Amino acid sequence: MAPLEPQEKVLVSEEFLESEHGELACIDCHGGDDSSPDKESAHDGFDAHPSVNNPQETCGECHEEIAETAPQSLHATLSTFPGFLKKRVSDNTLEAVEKGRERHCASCHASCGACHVSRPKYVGTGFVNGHMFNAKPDPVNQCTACHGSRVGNEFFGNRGQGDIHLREFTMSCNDCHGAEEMHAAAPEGLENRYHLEEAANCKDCHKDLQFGSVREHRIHNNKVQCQVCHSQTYTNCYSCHTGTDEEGIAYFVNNLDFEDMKIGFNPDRIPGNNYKFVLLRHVPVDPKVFDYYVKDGFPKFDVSPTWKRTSPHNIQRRTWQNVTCNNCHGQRDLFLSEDDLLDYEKKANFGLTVKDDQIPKERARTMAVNIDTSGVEASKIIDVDWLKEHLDDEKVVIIDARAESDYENGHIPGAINLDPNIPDGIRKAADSDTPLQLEDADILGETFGEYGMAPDDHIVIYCDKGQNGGFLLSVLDYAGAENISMLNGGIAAWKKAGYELTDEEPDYDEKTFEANVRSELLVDNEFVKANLVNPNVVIVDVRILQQSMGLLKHGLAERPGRIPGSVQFPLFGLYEDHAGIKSPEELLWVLKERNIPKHKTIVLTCNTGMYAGASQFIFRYLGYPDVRVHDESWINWKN
Amino acid sequence: MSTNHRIRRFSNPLIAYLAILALTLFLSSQALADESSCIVCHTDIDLLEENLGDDGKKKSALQAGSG
Repeated sequence: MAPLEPQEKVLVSEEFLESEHGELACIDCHGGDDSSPDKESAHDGFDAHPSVNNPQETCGECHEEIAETAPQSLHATLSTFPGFLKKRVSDNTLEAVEKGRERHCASCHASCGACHVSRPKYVGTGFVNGHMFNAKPDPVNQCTACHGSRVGNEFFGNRGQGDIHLREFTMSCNDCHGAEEMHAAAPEGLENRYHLEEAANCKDCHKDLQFGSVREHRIHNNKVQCQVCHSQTYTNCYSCHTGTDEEGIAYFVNNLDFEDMKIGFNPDRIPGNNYKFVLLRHVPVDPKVFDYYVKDGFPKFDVSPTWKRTSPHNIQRRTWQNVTCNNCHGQRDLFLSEDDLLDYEKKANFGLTVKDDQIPKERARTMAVNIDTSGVEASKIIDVDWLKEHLDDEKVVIIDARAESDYENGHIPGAINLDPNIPDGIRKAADSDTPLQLEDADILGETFGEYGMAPDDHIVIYCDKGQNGGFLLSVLDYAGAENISMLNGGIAAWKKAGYELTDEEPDYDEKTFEANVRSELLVDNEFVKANLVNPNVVIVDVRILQQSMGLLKHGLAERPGRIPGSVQFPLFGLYEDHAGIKSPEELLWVLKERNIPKHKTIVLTCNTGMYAGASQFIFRYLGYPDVRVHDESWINWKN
Repeated sequence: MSTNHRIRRFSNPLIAYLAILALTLFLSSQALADESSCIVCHTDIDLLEENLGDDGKKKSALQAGSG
């Protein structure tokens, strides 16, 4: 989210002045002197955050009951954090750890204003809508401004294909997390947020499923948490560290975020959550998280698990693990094992791991999932071991498609850096008549030749998230490259394998890359307009749901929205966070499930053609015979 | 004339008087936000731009995203 300019943050709208809250004088809530003609004295005694500092006498004047409880709500106090930390500290380390918590963890707390008026402090504040009070918080500017990297990314399709509650039913955060929950005072000593009586629960809406028509609900009722079957993969965070940077600004950072899914034994069996199996998420706590403040701050680290109950916000009705019994039963990798635990956390997670003989047994008779993988072009995805063996192969050209700064910090030996976001050579300039559309064939050829590639080389590309590498591969495909591959798992997989990194740039010669364009891989606006209602053409919008649902606009687009009739399938339903590619069986099943079948013409569209290109590479890998990129995409969609 | 009728005859102008009094008091005590001098600046983006510098609130480049 781009920060607001200082003047934008405090600009009051006419709409606000005419609203109910506009009937109050500014000084009634904010103090200061509204008769003063100069800025300094007008702001003498001014309180920018009255709902934090004086809730009873400001918001509480009218919203008496809410102002009574909301200051003790979890959003306001984050009161379960100190509880967790106190379990692990000693008397000697408590004070220093508390200081760290206050400075880092507590920076996220929210006030009335942070949910109803402004962006929260964590993202730099600023009115969302000219000081208008919105009874329902804005999911983009408020809720996921804080709950962004995990919840927001999952919900909006920055990780996985987003949440069905949003995509199909346009539900927002507070349709589940209503005022009753948000304003509830957290009882002292509350164990965790799930213990709050008012907390949202799937069964608040999905009642009495055990009596319904779905057999699996009856079988798994009260044994398996809803999300085990209905969630997509989610992120696990490792080793949070706190500190201050060169400018003295406090920060916290994780050493690793990794997309995955693990089922374990329930560490938190309470009424309403008395399941045997739940999804577990690795939380970023680490014995050294507050080393900046005190060494060995957590002498009792083992008293609380590091894998905790989770409720990913990327729900689907049908998922790969629930499509048939044996996609879950007997699947060792889906269940948390001792091998998943780091040395320092083995004791902390005692009782949560699932031993081989505790995994639900494979069923003898199950429904077959007939996925035809015969068209998959397996050579388009290679693994780190293959690449390690072929590092010195003369016909293999390795391209690092990350940003230059990441490349300079360490790359695979021999890799040449080509970030497809470079200002020219691949896409036209953003301020041109055809912004960010692909360059002409001869320029593409020149660029690829300059970076040491020829059409008959085996070009292997890696990156960190998938979209850069995937896009570049699609452009090479378009330009006529004959043998292209992506490194599965990208740089993270290379590092995980323990293979060498270097900061040395390789010597390489320019080559001649005569582009032999595959024009059938691109379409323009005219084609899309002509096929909006063609039953044999599926237009797939691969942007994140925030954009395809019109909640957020790309900077170069005239307006938010999407092409009529397009199917919403975010790119990150194809790529995992770390540029990992799920099995072709799973991808083909998911696409079929979303009515994106192989036998139709698939047109991929996004904002600028980049995500569409990155998607095209995966579709082509899966063997889709006719899949085209809408190069003009949303920023050039004028109708 | 019944007591009820007397009250009714008296109460109509009394209610009207009380209503006018209440409205006058309400309006005179109303401190509308758009009557405040604060609004002179806070509705004018150019004035704000002239008077506001960088607010100095920075986030560390190392800061990770929150949950």
